[in-house]
Amino acid sequence: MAVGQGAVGPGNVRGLFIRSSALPSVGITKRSHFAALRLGPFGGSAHLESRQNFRPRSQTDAKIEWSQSTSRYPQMGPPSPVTRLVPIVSTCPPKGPAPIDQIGKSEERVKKAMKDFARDPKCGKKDD
Amino acid sequence: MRVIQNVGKRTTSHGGIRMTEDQEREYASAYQLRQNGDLYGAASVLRKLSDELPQSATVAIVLGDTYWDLGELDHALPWFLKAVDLKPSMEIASLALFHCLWKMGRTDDAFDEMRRFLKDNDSDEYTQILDGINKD
Repeated sequence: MAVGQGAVGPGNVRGLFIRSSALPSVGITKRSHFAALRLGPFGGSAHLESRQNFRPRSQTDAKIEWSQSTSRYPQMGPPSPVTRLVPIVSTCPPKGPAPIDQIGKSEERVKKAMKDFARDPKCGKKDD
Repeated sequence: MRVIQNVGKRTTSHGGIRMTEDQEREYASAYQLRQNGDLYGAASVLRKLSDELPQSATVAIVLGDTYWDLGELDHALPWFLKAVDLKPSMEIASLALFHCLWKMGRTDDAFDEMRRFLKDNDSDEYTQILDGINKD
């Protein structure tokens, strides 16, 4: 098996590359072989590296990949119907103004009347 | 025999209370101070005028309203009470007292004042309030 130095080859194999002709011809594909070689600095990220390079060959593979992903990280899946925000439409008829509104409006009128009264108290109604 | 004060001076009636020309000028200056935003100055002049005219419901109402504008409802209340005592059937005095009590959170006292006034008088304003409440 010919192993040389360099920074070439798919996936930047940290200074190692393997010639295609030197790959074993049975039981392992070229891609998965490179993935297996790509180890992290501490040698523990091989699985993660290989998953990044994973390309599903069919729709079935893609579905499996998705389902695995959601099973490992359930919070990353599609939003559940329970948590989806649904606008609440009230079917109750609108109520009339609250008493506090009536009194608030009355207060405005009375304040205005007092201002008018202060300006011209001689015209104050019911003042005699 | 009725004694008339300020004999020889021209007077005008303000809510049944006669004001001399000097008092009219004082009242006018208080009103102008209010208009210019000097509410404390206006209150000061009106208090002095109230001392001279203790039976004037007009001065009491305007003074109460000035304290209301200052946000001092606890100072406004005694002046509205005085105005109602002086003129029990004066609608604006009763309404001012009602709203002052209401804003102070004394709703029972406010409705007592409403009942007192409506016992002997009519009021479109009170009628509107009651209609609004009864509609709910």
